[in-house]
Amino acid sequence: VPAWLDYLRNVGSLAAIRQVSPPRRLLLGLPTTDLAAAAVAVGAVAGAAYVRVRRPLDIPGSGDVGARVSAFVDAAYRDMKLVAADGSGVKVGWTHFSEYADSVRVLPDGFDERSDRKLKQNHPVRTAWTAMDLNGTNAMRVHARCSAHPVIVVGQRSALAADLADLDAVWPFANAFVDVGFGLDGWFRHPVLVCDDTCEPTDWLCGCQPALVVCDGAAAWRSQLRRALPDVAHILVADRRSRAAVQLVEEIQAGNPTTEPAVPAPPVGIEAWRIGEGALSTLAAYDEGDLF
Amino acid sequence: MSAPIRQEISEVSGWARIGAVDARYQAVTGAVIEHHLLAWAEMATAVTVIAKLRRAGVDGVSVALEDLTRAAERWVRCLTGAPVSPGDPAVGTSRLADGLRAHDASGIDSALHRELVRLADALDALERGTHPAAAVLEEIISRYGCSRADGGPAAYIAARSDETIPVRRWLAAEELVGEVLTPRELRKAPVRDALVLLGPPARYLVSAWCWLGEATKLGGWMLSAPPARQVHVVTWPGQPRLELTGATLFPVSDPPTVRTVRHASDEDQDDERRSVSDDVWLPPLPVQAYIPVAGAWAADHDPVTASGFRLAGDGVVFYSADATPASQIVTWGVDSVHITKGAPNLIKVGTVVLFRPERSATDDELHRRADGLLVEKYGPGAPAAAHAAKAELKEAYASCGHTDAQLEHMLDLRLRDSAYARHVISRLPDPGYIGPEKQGAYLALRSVLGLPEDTDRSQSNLLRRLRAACRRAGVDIVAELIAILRSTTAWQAELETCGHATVGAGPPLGQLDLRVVVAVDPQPKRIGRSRLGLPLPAPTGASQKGAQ
Repeated sequence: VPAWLDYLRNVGSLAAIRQVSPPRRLLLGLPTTDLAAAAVAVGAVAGAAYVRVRRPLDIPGSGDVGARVSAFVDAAYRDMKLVAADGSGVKVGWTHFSEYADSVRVLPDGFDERSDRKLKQNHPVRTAWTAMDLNGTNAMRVHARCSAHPVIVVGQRSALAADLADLDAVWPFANAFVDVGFGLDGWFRHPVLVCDDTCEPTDWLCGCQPALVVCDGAAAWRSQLRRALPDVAHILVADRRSRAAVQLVEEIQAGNPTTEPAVPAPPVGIEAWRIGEGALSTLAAYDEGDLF
Repeated sequence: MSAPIRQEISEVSGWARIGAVDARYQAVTGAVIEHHLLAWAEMATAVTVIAKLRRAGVDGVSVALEDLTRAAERWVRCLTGAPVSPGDPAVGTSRLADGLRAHDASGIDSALHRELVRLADALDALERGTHPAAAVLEEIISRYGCSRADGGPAAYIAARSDETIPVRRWLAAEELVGEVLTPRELRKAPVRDALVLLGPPARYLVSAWCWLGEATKLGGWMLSAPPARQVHVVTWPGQPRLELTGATLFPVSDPPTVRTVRHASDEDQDDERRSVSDDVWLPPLPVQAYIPVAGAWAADHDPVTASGFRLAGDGVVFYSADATPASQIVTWGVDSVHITKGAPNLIKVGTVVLFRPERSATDDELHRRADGLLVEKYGPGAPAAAHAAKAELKEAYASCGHTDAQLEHMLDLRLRDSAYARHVISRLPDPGYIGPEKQGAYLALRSVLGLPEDTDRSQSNLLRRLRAACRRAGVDIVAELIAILRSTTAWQAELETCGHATVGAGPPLGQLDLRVVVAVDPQPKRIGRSRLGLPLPAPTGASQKGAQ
């Protein structure tokens, strides 16, 4: 595996495994952004899965009974009603979860209705997650845990999908393992969500926390979605040749950010700059009212 | 096709792609940068004198000498872009020397007699000689030839878009082989053996709206992420300095290592160092331009405080931080184009702003699409109900009998956020403003305006639907505009050379006008709301204050 690809994967992995406060802001200057966001996403999902095997989430309590929940039931992700919750587990529909009850996630208020997501036994996603041999655990339960705190990639959907398909050559199952979903509606069902840089943050987003935000390009860094998620690590992959990237760095510099050591140190050919982000830019003043 | 075969093909194409990307990283990792420093005593003298004349021009010289100085600067730039002979009639060396002598003989600007004579003599000497870069470039380019596997040229030669023809002509005359590309084309070019730069990267991008400092950063990728395994930068007197600090994207990164190859004696090099002057590359326009406000612009019934910007193509535009429309800033990467909203303080010299002359038509289109979305999701009566809820706030604001300051104070008492209260009240008269997005702020505003409580949240739900529909429509329009801009790249070249470009978008989006900001008015002005965001003709008698 080329050193640059390995580095990008490691950076994603570390950011997802070690959440620090204040959250990381890592800017990467690359000779090309081809494959970069995808490689970071692969690493981030691998890191998140590693953590989530051992670290369960909180279990819905009795106060959540009657609420809409997302659960992996009968080879499908379904949005259902929580029937019961007590110390021994939770009950969704006719299914009782005693183990991995934390994989049942309460949907936030205002979350849109959606159809089921079927993942049959031989589905590539299930094959890939099972192949990871997650300590012999039920892979899809870990998948559900990771999907509750997904990696958000702000960038072009088609580019990310194509890049992930190409990364299969280096890391077999990468595409199926990342299991990318499109838009915020895929929350609780996909460990990685890709959103356009014009994607608006939803009302329910304040109650959810992703594992990492990966920004593919300068416009993604400026996006409202990134700014709506200030409490998690952000990684920017910027093309050194891009005019927009140069202008963004100038803007960031104008805000006098603090520089922190980039860990791990990048290989030759990659520039890394870890900053402490100050107040939000004045663009926030335009959050309300008309877009055009 | 069976699944295993499909997977095999996918893996092969995946490796091919990874190999291509890896080649770009390898080019950066192992890139060797050679800086060829040439001496040219006569040109060094000429550049030194031109820099003196330029500085004298700040204190005050005749208009004729100002014109001559500008012509001399153009002449220097002409000889920095291609190794053409200074004696070539197209370069105009003798014409410039004659002009300088005639001006000296006229007795005007007699204090600069010595400089004028010195420059004219240097020009005479240059006209008799040859361009020193020709031999060095010939030696470098001939090293590579057609060594590519497909028999194509292995070296790129970078040229500004207005210099490609002279460079190609010179290559043909010398029977050399190289692919001449502009920096914009080089960005996407595959990795080859060598890249030859005629001068520092900044020289390729510097213009009236892209100054030397910014051009150094924008062009730095030619050194830090070049499409070649070897980079040769050939510089000679008259070109700007080779700055390595701007080659990296981040200020904390180490600049690339450069091996310097001197093609002259130490004495010549001292002359060269003294003569390299960035003065001839300074922009012709001032940093700041005071824009006088035409009477009609401020005569609007509802003036607001706005910042003014001069545009390439001799127009001006005003934007306000407190009122719409916001500026539409266009940026682009290697394969992407983005349109973002920008507060006035983010606009600076070199920013590209997008205009759609028929703003009202676009507003109509936005509302038409938003209404369509509401009908689709909530039924035929939804648009009228949503607009009625919006109008309720506006009417209550118009008839409440309080001043803006009183409303701000009352809202602040409820919200405990004076900045947000000011923001909401200042936006209320704007026809495009729907209402506060935060539920608490909306309820507080209703209370301040004397409207009944929205206990069942029916009104706020209507406004939320309208806001969501308008945003969706706006996002769709932006996406269409981006698609139009992505479909062609000719406008990027036009912007770099002329500072403005037009792209036909067709109805209902109309013609897209892209303009570069060339100067910023440091003093805020009171401008009518209806004039904001529109390109206005530059008022006559605009006073300019240089800040170079």
